[in-house]
This record gives sequence, structure tokens and C-alpha cells, in this order.
Amino acid sequence: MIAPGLKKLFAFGSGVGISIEGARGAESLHITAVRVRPTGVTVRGGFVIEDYRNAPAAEWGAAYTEMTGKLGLQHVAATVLLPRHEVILRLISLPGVADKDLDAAVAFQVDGLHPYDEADVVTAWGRLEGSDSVAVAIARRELIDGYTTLFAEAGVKLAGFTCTGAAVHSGLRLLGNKPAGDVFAIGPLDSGIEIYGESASKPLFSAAFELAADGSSDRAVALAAAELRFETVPVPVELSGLLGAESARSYAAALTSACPMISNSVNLLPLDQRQGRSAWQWVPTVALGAAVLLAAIGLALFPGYRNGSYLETLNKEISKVQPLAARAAAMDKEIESARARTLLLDKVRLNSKSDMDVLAAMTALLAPPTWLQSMDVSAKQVGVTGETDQAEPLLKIIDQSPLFESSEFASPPSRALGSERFNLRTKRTETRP
Amino acid sequence: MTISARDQKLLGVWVVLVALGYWFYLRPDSGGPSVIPAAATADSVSMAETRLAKLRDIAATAPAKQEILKKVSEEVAGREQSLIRAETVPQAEAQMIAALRELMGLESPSIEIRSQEMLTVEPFGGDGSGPSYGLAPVRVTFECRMAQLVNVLAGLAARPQLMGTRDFQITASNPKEKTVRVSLTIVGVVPKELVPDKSKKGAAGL
Repeated sequence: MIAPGLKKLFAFGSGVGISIEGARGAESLHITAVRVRPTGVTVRGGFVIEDYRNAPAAEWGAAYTEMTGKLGLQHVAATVLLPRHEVILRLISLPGVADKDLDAAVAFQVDGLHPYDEADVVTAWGRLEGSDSVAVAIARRELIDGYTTLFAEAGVKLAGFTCTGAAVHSGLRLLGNKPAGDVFAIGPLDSGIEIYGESASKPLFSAAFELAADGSSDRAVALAAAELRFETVPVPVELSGLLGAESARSYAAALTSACPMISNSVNLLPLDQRQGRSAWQWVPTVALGAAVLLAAIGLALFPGYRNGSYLETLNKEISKVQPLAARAAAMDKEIESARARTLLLDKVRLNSKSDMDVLAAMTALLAPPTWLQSMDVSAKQVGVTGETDQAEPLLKIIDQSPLFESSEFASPPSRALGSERFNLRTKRTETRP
Repeated sequence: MTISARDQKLLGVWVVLVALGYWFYLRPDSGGPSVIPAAATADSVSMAETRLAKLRDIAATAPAKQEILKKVSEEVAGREQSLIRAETVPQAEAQMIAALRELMGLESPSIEIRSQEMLTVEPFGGDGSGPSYGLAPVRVTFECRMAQLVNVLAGLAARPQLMGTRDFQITASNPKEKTVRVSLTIVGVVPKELVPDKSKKGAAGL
């Protein structure tokens, strides 16, 4: 069920309502065509087919088709309001019953609402908006079948059969509005009146009454008011005045035909015999649904799309910058290599000077009376043989030089002829290629 | 149904356009912008941003590095002018001996080389990709006074050719004349092309 506040948004469509009225055996068809928009209802047209039972169905069917064709409503399936005396309308209260359990709850009670055999009747029901009550309509199957055949012969597409009470109740709330306070209305019938009412204690009342012998409807009004349990009996209004249309019943039926989704679901026409409406009625829904779906997909995919696009931009920028960065990294290696080669070549040229320093240092360190027999200078160490008066202090003397370290005797010093022969070696502190 | 033939065609065109749009924009290998799950790309985007920032930093140093490279390349090229240029190793070593003779000839009395020995050229410097240069060693023996030896060593350092001492042995010779016997090994830097290729040598030996 659509919330009353949102109902107005769904009030789109055109419909045709047919009300069967008049004396038994000489009924006429009151036809009204409407266009419903959230801003209001427009009556497109209407006419009456008198005494249709005594005219060929094809004949009045052609008139109906011509009228709907002129209005561009040939595709619209009509809702037929059955004569009041042929429909039993009951109200049952089902507080606390959820919508999903409604069918079972009503079916459990429906047997007690009519005097016919179960197989001989067609029933339809619908929860009344804003109440715990359910309107149950009951009609003889034979009657429904008869009307179905008749309208089929006439070429009239049928959306459903309903009754005055359900149609009026639904029509009063079609645009999401709700009657303020109690409703008490009278509509004429061929041999009496039909009274429609709504009150706090009875959300829907619809009944036909015979007029008094003097033609007065006072007794009927009093009975209806008592049934409705008004605290203060309101002045009854005309049904046409209540709905704002001259042919009130067919107008109410037309509203149901125009907006079946937001109307009361009391429809006595079996589901498999209801004729569809134009496929175009679904176009706005499908278009809006598709737009919503696409928007949802777009919203879901947008972060990924945005990230993907951004990542693509980043990768493009990376591919632009990368060659220069790679060149910069390669230049680091080239600079390092060039510097290393420069140092390498410089060291070769410095070898001779370094060796001269060693020569000068040894000459200074091993001063007389020490004299050398040989000196072996290589890249890493220096070997010296010679004679001195005391060989032992030589190691310390040599190690004091910054050019040498870890001096040691290659062989123990030997004493001969008042002096010591020594053979020592020392490591160079300077590294050379 | 009351959809006219024209409306049916329009509806068909609309469906085809929607399908084409989906195919172009959303299929995984489309030419249109790709759609990647947001969670999956968040890390990738962060990584790409970091990488781009790093690359930009590195790239920004390129001009300065180019200048430095130019400078150090000029320096190394200047030094390489002093390489001992020769087509063969014996020619290079002959140049070194000639330079040494020239130095020894400047001494008074001049120093005579008693023997000379050409050693194998060795690789010098470089990394895993190969040597930068070659070192051509030459060993000579001669007799001279210590002062003359010092002059020769100093002269080597001053030569335009890239030469230097590797090692030397000094042995007392004639105490009266204060001469010493010297075995001196000098090295000269030669182009890397003169370094013998060990792999080729091995192959030839097979």
C-alpha cells in the first residue's frame, strides 16, 4: 500500500468508468472518462447509453468505442460499477492482521457474509485506507459472468467490477487527501436512495433504502445515521456534490480505472479476465527506474572510474618523467665512475712520490750508526736489512712514523763483531694500487 | 498493446544505444576510461603518486648532474691524455723504457740499464663489466748513487706519461763510490684494449 503522502505522486492516468443504473430490466450505462494528474482530475467526457439490455451489444459497443476513440482512450480498460442491489458490501474489522495475512483472515470469515453457496459467488476485498477494516464485496458468479460476456460482445475492455462504496471511498482519497470529519451523502436510485457514509465508528457505510410511501427519505437517513453512530448527525449532501461530478458513480469508477494501483483493490472481475492497460502507462515508470538504476550504477562505479582515470593520468605522467629520471640515475653512475677513474690515475702518478717519501723516511729514521745493506719497497710493505748497535729499538722508532705500522723482525737479530745484524719488515699505512 | 511501429523502432534504437554505451564504457578492455574497483585502486593511486613524486625529484636533479658529469668527464679525459698510447704491449713498454732511459741519461754520470724485463699487462680499475685501463709493468736493474735514484723517481712523477713506481729493491754495492744496485719495477697506464683477454687465451689453449 502506498503511503497517503506519496499517493499524489502516483496519480497519473486516464480512465473510463461505467455505472449500471436505472430500473431493473431497463438499466442504462452511465459512462464518464477522466484524466488524473497530481494537480487534479479532469472530466474528459461522458454520455449515457439508455436501456442497453434491449439494444444489440455491438450497437452500443460501437457508440462506446466511438466516444473513447474521440477522447484518445480506446486503449483504456473500463471499470464497471455494478448495480447496488446486485452487490453485497460488508465491512469486517481485522485489527492487528498484517497485509500478508489478510487474504487468509478474510477468506476465513467470508462464508458467513452471504447467503449463497461458496461456488456461486465471486468475492473481492480490500483494506480501507487508515483503518483496520476491510471492505468485502460479494456478487453472484452468474451475474459477473453475464456482464463479462455482455461487455466482451460490445467490445468494451474491462479492468474490473466494483461497487459504489468501494469506488467512492477510494475516489475521495485518490490524490492523497482525506475527507475532514464525517461523510454523509445520498445518491438517487431507481426506486429509492443510496446512502454513503464514513464516521469514526464505521469507516465505510453504503446501503440502498426504499423511500417512504410519501417519497420521504427521512427514515432512511435516520437509519443510516444510526448505523454510522454519528455524534452529531451531519446534513446529508448529494453524492454528486461530494465527488464533484454530475454522474458521481461512473466518475468514481473512472477514477479507479485511471489509477488502479492507488485505488481500493475491491475488484470482482477475476484476475485472468482483467484486460491490461496500455503498455505506455509503464513507460514513465520504466524510464524513471532505468534512470535510477543507471544513476545507482554510476554512483557505485564513479569512485573506481575516477580512481582509474586519475591512475591513468598518473601513469602517463610517470611515463613522461621516467626517461629523465632514469637518465639522472644513470648519470650518477657515470659521475661516480669518472671520479673513480680520475682518482685511480692520480694515484699512479703519486706512486713515485710516495716511494720517495718512504726512502726519505727510512733514511731519517735509521740514522748512523745504523746502516742498511738492502731495502725492499713494495706497495704494501718495506723490508730492511742492515747493522746497528741495538736492533731492538728500531721497531719502535719505525712505528713512530706515520708512514709505517706493525714493524717486526723477519728473522731474529744476530750479534757479530760488536754490532747487531737485523732483518725487519714494516707495513705501509698508505694504500697503493 | 498500442505501441506503434514507429515507437517500436525508436525503442529498439534506444536499447541498442544503451547497449553500445555500456559496451564502450564499461567492458574491461574498452578503449574508454576503465572502471576499477575503488578499494583496489586506492592503494595503487597512492603508490603511483609517491612514485611520481620521487621520479620528479630525481628528474629535477638531471640538469645539475649533467653539468657535474660534463666537468668530471673533462677531468678524466684530461688525465687520459697521458695514457701510454701504443698499438701493442711491447710498443707501450718500449715507450716506458725509452722514457726511463731519457731520465737516466740526464744524470751525471748517466745511469746504464743493465737488464730489463717486460711483464704481463694487468687490468687496472673497472667493475664487473671489465677493466678501465691496463697496467704495463717493466722491471729494470741498474746501479747508481742514492741521489740519482731519487732524481729518477722524481723524474718519473714529472713525466707527461702516466707512469709510476711499483716496487724497488736497493742493495749496497760499492761503499767507496756510495753506489747501490737497484731493481726497479715501474708501471705505465695503457688503454684497456691492451689488456690480454683471459677468456680468449683460454679458448686458444684448447
